[in-house]
Amino acid sequence: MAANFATRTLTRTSTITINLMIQAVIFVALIGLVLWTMLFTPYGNIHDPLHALRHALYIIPCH
Amino acid sequence: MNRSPFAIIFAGLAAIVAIALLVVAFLGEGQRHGGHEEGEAAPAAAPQREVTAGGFRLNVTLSPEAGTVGEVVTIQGKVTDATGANVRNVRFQLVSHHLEDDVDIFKTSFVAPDGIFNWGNQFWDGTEHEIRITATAAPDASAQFPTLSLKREVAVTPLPPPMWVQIRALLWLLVPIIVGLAIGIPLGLRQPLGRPSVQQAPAAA
Repeated sequence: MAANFATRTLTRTSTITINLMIQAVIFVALIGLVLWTMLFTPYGNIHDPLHALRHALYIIPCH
Repeated sequence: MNRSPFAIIFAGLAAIVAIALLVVAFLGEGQRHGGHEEGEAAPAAAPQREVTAGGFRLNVTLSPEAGTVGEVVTIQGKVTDATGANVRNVRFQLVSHHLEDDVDIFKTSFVAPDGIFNWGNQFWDGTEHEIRITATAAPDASAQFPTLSLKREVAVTPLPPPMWVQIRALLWLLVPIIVGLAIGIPLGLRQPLGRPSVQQAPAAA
């Protein structure tokens, strides 16, 4: 039995691979979170530099 | 072993996005003072409260001096002559100008019989506005005076849009991604043309 470290790691990784549909949902949620952070957060350090972008996109409410 | 390449793309994208957000946040730290409240313009000088020409004086007061969306700012203007008495029958023009979009939001003209007016103004956008007031003598004014113009910048406190408006805008951005996934995932699950499946490891000799 030559179950070395690399083999064991790859085996463990392959068993936690998740359903494609769940991946898609997480993907969309992550994109949503990023867009929210970029475009809607009131946190000034992100909100202020992206002010022009927000206005350029036209559909994003700003102030 | 069946591993979707989607997982690798997904993980890589997440890492790139996390780094990008960190960079934006750190860059923002340096730009903090050039942001929303002050805009591109240099720090404003003392507000212009009155303007005089030929002994006549146009005086404008705002209370409060800074605006808030949904609250009334009372603008009072009056024209007085050299003795300090109000000039009668003054035609005022009042413009609320949106500085960021460079557009007139509101514009009106009226005659003040006693040379003084009070105007309750509501701002509908949380950004800098310029109140422009022009006083001219109506034909039946008690004294003819040169046109007096005054511009007064008003800072309006920024207000975040309502939550449902934000959610609606976010959904508009997400819909193309969801549609792309709905089209792309079934295409990606098909066998690639002209290439053997790599789902099974070759049998050991």
